[in-house]
Amino acid sequence: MSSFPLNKLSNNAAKSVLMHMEPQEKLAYSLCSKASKNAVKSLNLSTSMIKFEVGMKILVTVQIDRNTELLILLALDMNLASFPPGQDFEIRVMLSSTETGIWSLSKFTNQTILHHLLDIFHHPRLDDLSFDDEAIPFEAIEPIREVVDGVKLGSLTLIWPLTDHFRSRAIRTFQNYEELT
Amino acid sequence: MSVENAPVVDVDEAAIPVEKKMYYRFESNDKKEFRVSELAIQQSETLNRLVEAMGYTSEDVENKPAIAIENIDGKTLKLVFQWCEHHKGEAIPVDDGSVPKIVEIPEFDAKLMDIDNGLLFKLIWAADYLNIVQLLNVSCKKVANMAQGKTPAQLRRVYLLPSDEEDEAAKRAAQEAQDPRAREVEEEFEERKRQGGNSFF
Repeated sequence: MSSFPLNKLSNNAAKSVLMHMEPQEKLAYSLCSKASKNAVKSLNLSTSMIKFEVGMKILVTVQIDRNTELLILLALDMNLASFPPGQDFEIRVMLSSTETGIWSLSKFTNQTILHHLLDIFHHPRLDDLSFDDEAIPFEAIEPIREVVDGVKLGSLTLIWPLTDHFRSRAIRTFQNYEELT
Repeated sequence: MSVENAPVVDVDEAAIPVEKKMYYRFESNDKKEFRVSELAIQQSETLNRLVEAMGYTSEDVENKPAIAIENIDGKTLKLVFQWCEHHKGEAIPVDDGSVPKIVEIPEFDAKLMDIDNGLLFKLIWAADYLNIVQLLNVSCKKVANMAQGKTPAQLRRVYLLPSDEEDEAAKRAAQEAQDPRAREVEEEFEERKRQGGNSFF
């Protein structure tokens, strides 16, 4: 693999390189170090929506533009009761429906990844938190609360087949939403 | 009207004013000289301003020394001027702030940039220094393409990115290289900040 000393370029040229990257590459770059995160933040990226779906997988969707979504699959075959720990874990990244890679990350958790996304896209809130599978175990609520702790919620979506017990517990746990659907 | 049916007009070629092309001479830091057309120079905002300010006539170009570009070597400058000559007369793109930038690398540019990464680095540096917007765009696009399909760990190796720990160590080393008194003042300032003071004095 050949290398290129990107940091040795002027700020203007290095920024130009980042601006020419695709969304998933910018995300990968931002995850390399604090300095690389700040470099991506300086591009002033924006998104119209970030949503967090909890089903038999946890999926974060970042709307890049009208036709493009960046999808970050945080957990694939999930036993929500034993939520992915804070050590290395894998995320799958897709651009719209095309999988672009499986990344093994150290020093990140689901919570820090979510905050990282909100940060690099300068987005003030999670637009939607949805529980969309009736098989989600009751014990999943608390770990999810920890992940979204401190994040403003646009809407909380609870699909119909979830039990009343689950729904009422979720409503009590995630109180800082603006809309319940 | 077909070509065959077009009216034939006799043209007195001597009567047509021939515009003399203006060329400028530039010299790299390793004393390589280049003749570059005025139109090609317009791709570089820096050189264009320079030659406008100099106000050279054709005679000046021949009689005065070549314009020295002291921090670019001949190999790099040759690529730069080849690119400028090929793209002379083309509109210079205006940055519309779109991210990501939509840039296609034309075949000519792709061949021109079929070079090792050391020379590509110098080419980008030169395009930035000489303010050649489209050359900077295509060369940066080529470097951005190196990220395709890479994981964060692979990107660290491709772009030689230091880890947080290495960044911290470099910052500490830079601080230690500072004047000792300046460092003491800085540490005192940091200590006061930690103690909640908002003013050093």
